[in-house]
Amino acid sequence: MTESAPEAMIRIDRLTKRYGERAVLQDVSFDVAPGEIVSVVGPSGCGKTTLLRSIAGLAPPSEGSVSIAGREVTEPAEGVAVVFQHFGLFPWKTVFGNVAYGLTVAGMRRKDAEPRVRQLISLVGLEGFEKSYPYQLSGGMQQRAGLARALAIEPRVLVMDEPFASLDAQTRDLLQLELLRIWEQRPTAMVFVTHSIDEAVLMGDRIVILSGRPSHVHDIVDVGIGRPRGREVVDSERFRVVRDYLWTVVMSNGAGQSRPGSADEVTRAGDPPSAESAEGPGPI
Amino acid sequence: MSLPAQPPAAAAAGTAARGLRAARARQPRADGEPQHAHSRGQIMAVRVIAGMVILAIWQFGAMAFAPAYIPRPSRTITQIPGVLSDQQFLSGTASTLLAILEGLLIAVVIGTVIGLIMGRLRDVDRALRLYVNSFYAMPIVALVPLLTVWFGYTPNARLAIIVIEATLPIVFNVAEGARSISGSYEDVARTYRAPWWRVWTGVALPASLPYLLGGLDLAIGRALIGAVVAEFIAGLNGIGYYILFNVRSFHQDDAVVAVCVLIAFALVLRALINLAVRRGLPWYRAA
Amino acid sequence: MTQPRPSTPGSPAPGSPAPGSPAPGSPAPAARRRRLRAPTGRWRAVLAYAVGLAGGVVVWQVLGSHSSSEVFVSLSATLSRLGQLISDGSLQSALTASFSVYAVGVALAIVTGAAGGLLFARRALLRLALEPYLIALYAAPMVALIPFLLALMGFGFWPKVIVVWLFAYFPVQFNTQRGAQSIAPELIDVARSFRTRERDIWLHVAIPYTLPYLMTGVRQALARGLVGMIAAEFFLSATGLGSLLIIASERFDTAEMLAVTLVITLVGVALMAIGRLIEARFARWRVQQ
Repeated sequence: MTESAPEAMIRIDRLTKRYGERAVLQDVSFDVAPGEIVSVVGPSGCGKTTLLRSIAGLAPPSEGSVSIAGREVTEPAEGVAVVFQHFGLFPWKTVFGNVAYGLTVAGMRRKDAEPRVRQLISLVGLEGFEKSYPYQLSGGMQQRAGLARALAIEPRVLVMDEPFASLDAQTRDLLQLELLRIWEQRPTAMVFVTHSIDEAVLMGDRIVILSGRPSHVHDIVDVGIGRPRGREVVDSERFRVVRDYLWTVVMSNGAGQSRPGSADEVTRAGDPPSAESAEGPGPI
Repeated sequence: MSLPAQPPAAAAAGTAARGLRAARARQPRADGEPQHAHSRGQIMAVRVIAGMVILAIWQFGAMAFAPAYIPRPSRTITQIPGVLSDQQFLSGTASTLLAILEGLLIAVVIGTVIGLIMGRLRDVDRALRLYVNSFYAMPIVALVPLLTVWFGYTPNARLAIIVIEATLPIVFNVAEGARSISGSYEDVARTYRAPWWRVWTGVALPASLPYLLGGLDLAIGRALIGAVVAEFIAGLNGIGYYILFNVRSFHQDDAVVAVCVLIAFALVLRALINLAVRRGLPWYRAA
Repeated sequence: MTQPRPSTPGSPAPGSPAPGSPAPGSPAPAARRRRLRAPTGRWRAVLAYAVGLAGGVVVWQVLGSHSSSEVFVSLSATLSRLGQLISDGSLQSALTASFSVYAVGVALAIVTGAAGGLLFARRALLRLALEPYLIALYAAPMVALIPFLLALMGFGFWPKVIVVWLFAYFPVQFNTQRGAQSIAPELIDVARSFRTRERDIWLHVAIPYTLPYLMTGVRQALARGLVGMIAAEFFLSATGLGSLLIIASERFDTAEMLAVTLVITLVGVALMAIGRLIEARFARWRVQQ
């Protein structure tokens, strides 16, 4: 790391999380730069969600630390917004009420919040549904609202916990691209947890692979695809390469399996790309 | 740029609910701590202690603040053997109990028949709806004075109120059950060319059973209230009257024992219903 | 047509719908309506209702005319007696007396029941320790306690209020508790992730979530409180609808009894309707089950 390297927005340093006797996460370390999307993948039940909760400040570390913009996180930090797999909309609030929630609870008056809330609601494509209740919305619409709610507080960090896992395949495809489009307008440091390898590659600049019990970082992969990204990215050569690599690593039983031949084409990336070597996709 | 949105509410709800359930299944607990179940012994101990505390408060409260004839645990407990061997108590309890059981039985028969008819025949349902709903909404105990005029101060008045109290929730529930039988069951029966009475007994009745039992559950509580009110008003031999009599004659501790027996009675009956559901209807699963 | 909902076994709160019961209202998609015929169907329904109503009227009238007036009176006689009661003011004063007791008792029950429900939901120890006793009290026929109240406090307004409270309290507490206990931890998570303070969690999450459950309890309390009111008036009162009934029964004045019963029925129906409206209004955001 040189002096001119941007300070990591999220720094996870030897994070270990135990529940009673059982360790779920062991010695997890990685950084997320401002404006970078890091995907996290791993088999089910490997603690991806626990990792997210630690970042979100909902589960203080047993050992190690999580820092956001230099400050250690032990409880929900300012400027961190979470999008949940279960959408987490309050059923008794309208879409407007939900999207405005982060602002309301920080003390902003409804009148002051209104313009931003309306703008976000239309940004996520829910214009006209301001007064609807969550039960009247489809899953995809609810998640859009969840996203709008997260964006409303103008976060520095976005934490996405398998946000599209509860949606049908078509909606998921649509929303992935929607999310990328929206993100492009205001690139924010994002940790994107998913169990879908395709999704991880599509969304992320780098991919953290967790595996084992307890989970540790098995590998960090540089996706090496430029932005902005659209649907066509999925057909690119690079995408296929990264995906195949991930598939083999993640799908083989547990950690510590030897990497297949295609590993040579895929980079290991331990540090975020520094300003000096910003050459685009390729080995660092 | 917004995409056309179709809100299929049911699917959304199911989706969100599935997501929620899955999320909940994975998480140890919201605050990240593992849940420790208390052992059965611990729970039992806490409850017993709580009971003792309550008794203590009652005892000292009564001793300190209340007139001497107010019941207190020390006397009540010592009176228990006396009450349980008291002829009046035993005959009264038996009388009430038998009346309840008899009344419930009659109510089940009448209620099921009417309920099935209402559930299956839309027209009858509509014709009778007004009366069923009205009677369900009113406090049936208001009929007790009228019943004492019709039946006199006799056990028949008590039986009548029990039957009326119990029939209503049963009619209500059985009708709902019979009505809500999925058309597909009916189709199955029809494809096997089942005659109408077979559809009723073979499909409608079994499908309504859970509802029937639910109605019975409600009916027990209501029947007990009706029985006690009838006994109070009509001075009938029964556990309710025993309570009244003993309170009036300053044997309030005896009355308290009787109240406890009454409560136990209510609990046992409801527990029996639940048992019947679990054993007799294993195919029915409550959420 | 609005109706009270049936209960199914396994539901802890008798009288409230059990979630996941064999679907009152959410049947398999294959549930069919029987032979729907458009205009004829509607007329048929109206006809059925009319026949039912007319039938009742006719039966009442006929039975009444052919029985001795101590046993049963006709509808017309009942209504004319009702008119009498209204014109000499006795119905109004009875209604006032009854409803002041009822309103105070039910209001107290709602306030204390909501508080109790929240308390028990929050304090697991309290809940664990006292649960069996509360279940016993919920199942207990509260009428049995009336003699004790009579001995302790005699006739009057407050003993009656206490009876109404005894009847109405437990459904409120029970339902509120159930609601507050069932708040999905995920929603608390969401609130915490937005750095919501404890006080605001109550305001924005716990209370809105619990409110519909409270209203279900209120609906049940309205019905049970009415029973309590009548029972209390039988034994603890010289005023009110219940005591009108008792006094009339001692005179064998069936006409008056029927008239008052009719009034009580109307009141009961009205209260049930109000209860259901309140419940529905607060359950607006709930997923249709």
